[in-house]
Amino acid sequence: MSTKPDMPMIRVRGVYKSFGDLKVLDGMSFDVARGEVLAIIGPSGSGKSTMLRCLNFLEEHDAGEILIEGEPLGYRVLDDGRRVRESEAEIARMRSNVGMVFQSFNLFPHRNVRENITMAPVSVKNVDKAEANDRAEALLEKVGLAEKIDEYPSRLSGGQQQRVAIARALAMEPKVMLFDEVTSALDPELVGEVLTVMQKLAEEGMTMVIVTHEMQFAHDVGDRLMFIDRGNIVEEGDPTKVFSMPESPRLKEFLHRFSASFG
Amino acid sequence: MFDVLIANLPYLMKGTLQTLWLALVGVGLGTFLGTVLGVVSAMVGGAVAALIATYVFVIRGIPVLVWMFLAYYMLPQLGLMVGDVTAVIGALILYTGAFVTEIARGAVLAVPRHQTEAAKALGMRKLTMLRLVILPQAVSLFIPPLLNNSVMMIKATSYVSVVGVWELTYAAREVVERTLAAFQIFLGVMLIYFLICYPLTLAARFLEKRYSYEH
Repeated sequence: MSTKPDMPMIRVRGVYKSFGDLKVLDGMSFDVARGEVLAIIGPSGSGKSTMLRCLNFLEEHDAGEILIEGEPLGYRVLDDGRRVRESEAEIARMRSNVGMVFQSFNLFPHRNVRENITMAPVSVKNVDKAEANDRAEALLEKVGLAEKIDEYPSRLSGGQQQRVAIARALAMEPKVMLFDEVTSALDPELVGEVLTVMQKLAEEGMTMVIVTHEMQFAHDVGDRLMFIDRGNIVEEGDPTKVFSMPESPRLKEFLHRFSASFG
Repeated sequence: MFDVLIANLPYLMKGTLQTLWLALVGVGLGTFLGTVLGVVSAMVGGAVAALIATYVFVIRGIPVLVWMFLAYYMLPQLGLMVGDVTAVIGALILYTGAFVTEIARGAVLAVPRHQTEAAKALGMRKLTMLRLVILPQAVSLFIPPLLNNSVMMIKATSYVSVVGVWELTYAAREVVERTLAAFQIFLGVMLIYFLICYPLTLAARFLEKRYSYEH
């Protein structure tokens, strides 16, 4: 299926997901435009990470539809309403267009930084080794870690590991980048270096979905802010407006708790 | 005092060769079988994993000596005219395989889920993920228990003498019956088994170091 330029980069329609009896996503629908930065905030257990993980099929939605550039992700809904799971090859192909950065970095500990970055382009997209290597060097330059190219992940700080993880995801030349609480596991003084890289990416026009607890960052970098609670979108819109004039009591309470914790 | 051992050493060496051959084929093929089954069980799951688990439970629950008797006496009854060596090697392969299956399965499952998620998120398919991410990390967890098992199974080759298959232990008993020098002969046998197993320990230690990495 060819991609449709008029389609949003991500389209989520009526996505439901439950873990056993626990309903995690309760019919979520939203779009993310090309080049847009969507910041998702919400309390723990609100479903924000699950929603993000659905966007590259690490979690499988029970109902509804997720389209990446108009192409259905994971399941294809037939005309008669039946859902058919896509083949493993097709799911892998879709995922290769969607970069993801995790809270716990998840670098490959048995490979050095260079190999961490070149592994997927070479093995998944058949990129020439020399070319993948050049790209790895350029990406490390970009995230400010050119000198660490031959180090093993265990030798790097959390912030450095996370920047390598971003470079690793970018090496696949994804159309979308997903960030799952990527600064939550970092020491406070290392958060800035990771956010700086993300800000640079946003300015370059990368489509990004960011699940975060960094309210200031969500405000500054997000084109749009979405507040999720109990698997529903409670409020969304321009970050400045959402933060300064929250309408729902739940968001008010959430923001209040946050500002209280910052003194 | 050890003249009797030295005089009979050539004969014991012939037995040693037979033991090595049994170990190489029985334990080697069994390890290969178990590695494949264990990885498949961990990666595929479902009915395939259940089938493999059944094999493991059945084989593991019965002593290898009993399996050797079964293979030796039962197969001909079932119309399979296999030789005694084939029967005991079959038992060795299946028995080794069952234990190695669990070792391999455990090693693969011990690779953190985060690692497979990272690989999936990069668009890797299962086989690529297995080759580049899972197996390299599983190896260091696989080697120590595998060595343990290999040494155990090499020593278990001495059981084959009970159904009349000739190897080192059998040869030693023959010599002892002839010379009545049980102490000297079995001291020699002890040393020979040790010399077979010890290099394996060294090799495993080397491999373990070679494939270890810091998290």
